[in-house]
Amino acid sequence: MGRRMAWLVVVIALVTLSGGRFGLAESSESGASKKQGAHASNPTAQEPEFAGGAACVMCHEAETSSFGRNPHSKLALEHGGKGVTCEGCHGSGKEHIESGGDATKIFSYTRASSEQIAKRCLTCHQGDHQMFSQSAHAEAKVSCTQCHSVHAAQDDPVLLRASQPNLCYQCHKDVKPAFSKPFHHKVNEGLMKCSDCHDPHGTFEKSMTKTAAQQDAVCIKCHQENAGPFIYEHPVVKAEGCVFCHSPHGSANPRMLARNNMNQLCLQCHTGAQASHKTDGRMFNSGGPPTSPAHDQSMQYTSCIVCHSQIHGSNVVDTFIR
Amino acid sequence: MTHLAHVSDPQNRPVLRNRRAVRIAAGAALLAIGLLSGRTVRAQEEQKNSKPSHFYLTNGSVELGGHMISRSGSDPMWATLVNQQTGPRMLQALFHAHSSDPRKTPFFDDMTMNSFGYGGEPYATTTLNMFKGKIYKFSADFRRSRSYFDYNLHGNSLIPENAVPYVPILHSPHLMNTVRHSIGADLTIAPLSRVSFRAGYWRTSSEGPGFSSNVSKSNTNPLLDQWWRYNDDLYTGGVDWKPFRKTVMDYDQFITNFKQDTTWKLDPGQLAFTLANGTPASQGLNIFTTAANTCVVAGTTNTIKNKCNGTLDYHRTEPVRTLFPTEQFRFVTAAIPNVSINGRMLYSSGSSELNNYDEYYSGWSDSSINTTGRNIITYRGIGDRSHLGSLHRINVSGALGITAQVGPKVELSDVVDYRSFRNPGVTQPHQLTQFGTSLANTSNAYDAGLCPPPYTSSNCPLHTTKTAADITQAYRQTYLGQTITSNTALASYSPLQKLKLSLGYRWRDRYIAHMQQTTTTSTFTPPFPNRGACANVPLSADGTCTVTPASTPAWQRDEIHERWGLFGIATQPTAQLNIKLNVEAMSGDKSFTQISPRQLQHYVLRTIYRPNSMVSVAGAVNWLESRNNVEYVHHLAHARDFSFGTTIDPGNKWSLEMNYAYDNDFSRTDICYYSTSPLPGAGSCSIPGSPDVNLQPFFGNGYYNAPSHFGSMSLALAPTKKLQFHSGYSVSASTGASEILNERQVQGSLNSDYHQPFTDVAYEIFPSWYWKAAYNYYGYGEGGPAGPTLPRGFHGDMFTLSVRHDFAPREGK
Repeated sequence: MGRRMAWLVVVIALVTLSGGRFGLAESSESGASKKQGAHASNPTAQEPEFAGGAACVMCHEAETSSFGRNPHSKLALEHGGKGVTCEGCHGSGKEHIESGGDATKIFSYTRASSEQIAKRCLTCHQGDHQMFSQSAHAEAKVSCTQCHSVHAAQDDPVLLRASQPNLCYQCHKDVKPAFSKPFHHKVNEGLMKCSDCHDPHGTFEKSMTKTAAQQDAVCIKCHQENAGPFIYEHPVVKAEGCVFCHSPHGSANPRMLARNNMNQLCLQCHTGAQASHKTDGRMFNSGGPPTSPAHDQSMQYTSCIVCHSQIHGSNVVDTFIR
Repeated sequence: MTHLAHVSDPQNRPVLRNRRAVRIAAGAALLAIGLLSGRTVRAQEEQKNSKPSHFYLTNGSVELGGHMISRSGSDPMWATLVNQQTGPRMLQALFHAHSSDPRKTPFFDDMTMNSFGYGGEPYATTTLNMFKGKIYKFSADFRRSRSYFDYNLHGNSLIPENAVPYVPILHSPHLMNTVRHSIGADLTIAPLSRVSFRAGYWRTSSEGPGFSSNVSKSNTNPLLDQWWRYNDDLYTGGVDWKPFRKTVMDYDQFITNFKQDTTWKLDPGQLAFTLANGTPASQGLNIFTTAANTCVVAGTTNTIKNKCNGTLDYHRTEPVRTLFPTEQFRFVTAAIPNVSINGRMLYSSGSSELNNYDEYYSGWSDSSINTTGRNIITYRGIGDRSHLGSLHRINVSGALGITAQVGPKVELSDVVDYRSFRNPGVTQPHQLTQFGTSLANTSNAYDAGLCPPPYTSSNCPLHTTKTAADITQAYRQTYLGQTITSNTALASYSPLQKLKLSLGYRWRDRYIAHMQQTTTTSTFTPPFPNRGACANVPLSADGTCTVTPASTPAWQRDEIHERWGLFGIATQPTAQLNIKLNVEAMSGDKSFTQISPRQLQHYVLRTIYRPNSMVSVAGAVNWLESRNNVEYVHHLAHARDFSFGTTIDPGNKWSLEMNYAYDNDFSRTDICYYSTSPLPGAGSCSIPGSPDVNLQPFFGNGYYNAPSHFGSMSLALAPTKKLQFHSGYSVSASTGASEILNERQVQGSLNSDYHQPFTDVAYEIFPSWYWKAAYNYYGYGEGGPAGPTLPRGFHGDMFTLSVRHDFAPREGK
């Protein structure tokens, strides 16, 4: 009972602190946005009058001509033809028109900050992009309009300025080379998109990666055979993730492995030093060093995976040999 | 390796059913486009004779053509990296219809369908997106990809030419040639309403042949034919509720149903030897013997001695059925002024059933019946269904993020994240072993009727006083779990509209636990039933002895505490220049593995400069330093990437794009290893107190250095409205090296160049009809020696001729 009361008090306090503006309140904008005019900065708060989309066509024919072919146009005919039109995003254009086209009298996306733009777009798109305000893109002041263009989109239906992956490569120059290495995920070939693995609008994961439905790594969406659960898990796979051994964008090494030599990859962890560190409690020892004669590195060049072929996990043997 | 052909030849693809399905899909797609396009034409014809009714604005294109391939060098590597083949293709099809009057188009307002790659391309996709006003939006996606992999160094034992017998391994023992199909659809009902509903389905399947290997009880590594087969069905359903403005709550239910029916069996090509009685036998992959200790009978080339390691038969069936029901609740609200809150809670409880497990091995090892030598082993689960085990995975995660604008210049945010998984499992493998004295020996299982005391009948098992148990029934419990809790607090200050400084702190705690416990009931049958663990144990009435030694769980637990400092600058000093710098530094008190970082620093600098609408210059520095620099480990690593690119696009006439990048992955770690003939200069592994040092006496530094250069250039020209020209070049070159532990090891692709120049031209021969020609070159080469395998370099020319027809925007009904 006491806990319920506490929740009630918290809710009432929040409502009170917000001035009772739940559902109606608009966040105040930074000083910069106020330069764009009161009406322009807030299209929904007691707008004086809308000029109507037809008026915009007179001067902005190029922009309005393409509007009918993008998804926003479906909203234009709603509410008796007074749905989302130009003013839905740019705010009331009445003062802008009456001033003879004064650009400061209407919300301009080219002059607005990334935060102001995001605030506008998220008014409708917040449900789809719940994490955007905490995303690396928002933090980097990447605005919605840097990737999306309502008027000049190259890639429907999400109105991207350019198709993936070229759009992403524009900033992520360090990622493009990886997809040209001999072994890579087929992004440049068109089979996959960056957004198959990453959500550019933010996630709670590192590098804004998505996750499989059951919260496993996004890799599992296609590589389900490695999802498990296995009776014998290779602990590092689940605890550190696939990228511990693989470079998912691309690599010069087969299987996009982090090393060209499989044995070196394994020996880095499975070596005698590990046992030593276990003794002072500083190292989690989830696998012993390969010490039997079968692990002779010279008798035969035996790759670890020739025997340990089920290295991602096994239901039969804890050494992953079958 | 005679059986290799059916999987190594990418032209001879056994998954014909899938190919037919693709052709049918491609045909259907083309038919659909044709019909829809036809509708537009018919509509126009109708308009001449009837009252005009312009409902849809349609456009699209279809490109048909074909490839001609000329190549030389390694076919397996061509198939692994490129896999393009000669033949006709449907290169692309695009169709778009948009309603000009949604009130008269009841089914959809807009539809876009895009396809490419049908008719034999290694990758083919179709996407469909459509919506109808506030009623629904729908998207569907189909993808098919062939995964061919035969990098011959991968898993290869590199048998030298002086081996007796010499059986070289020319392909990767882990070759695979599978086809993955993914198909999915998502439907949202009433996407703009206060309450909207979502439903979706996604299916991925993968099937095809491949090779695998394992270490058999004969201590050889027989090559196995592995038939990959699994599929995954994901059903989703959700509801979004917008209780008040700027607030969305949604609930999702996901059900993932995974089925795996992959099978393994001894590759027939492995039976390259015979016993004296004519029985085919395998010596495994790693045959490296000298004339003095070869198993081959003198005077023969492929007859082996009966008492040599070998495998006569092997197969394994391990069906897996896994169900993951998952629930997720998310919410976001910006209803409170200047505050944005979002959160998520997820609970997933997966269970996996392993029934109908069947594994059979027939072979022999020189350990013989005195210790672990075996002849026939049958592995099963328990009961009629051969139930091997039940496994579970429980994922629980929750996160809450709050961002608050404190005044016009300061923003505070905090994200609390909790995630946990645990995998408890139980298996009950049953093993029946029939011992023998050689590969040619007939093994017997104990039958009290056929093998009465004094157990000297020829029907009795062959035992000595050291023979292992005949029957084991194990009860194994395992557990792996990890809980990660973290909190990230970030304060941002924007002294100017175009400048944002961020400073943050993150703590991250990990708790990891791992457990194994096996309780084994062993049954020893006559003769000598009181052997091994059954010594001095009373016998049962049937003369056997059963014992179940006590066991204790072996737990390993550890905690890792990490502390992070975060710093960021995002600035736009001019309208044309964007600069972002992010710095993360972490220090932890432990590391999970030797190469997990105990300290790291990560610097990311991205900048893009657009002096005008025609020119864009961008650069990035991505620099990660990580180390676990403690005694006996000394793990140091860095990944440094410097990249630069520019695009010049003055208009419709031409454009130019150039990119260059240099990156360097480096790592070194102390390693100890065992070798009977280490390379000259191999150090001595000396770790006081380590029980493993004597068995791993040699020291390595785990050196790995992979500097690589990337360059690309692309030029597009459109000198006239009818002619378009596009040409470019892309090259990725790696000049790396890693530590060599064995003289037959080579650097392979770590020292390689991959070139991909291309040129294409398109000419409008008639209005909306384009003739296109393209040339692609693929060249792969390695700088170092190939090793005792086939060389892996190749080059190939691909000519593509095609015709594209654009369906210009037109109105239809």
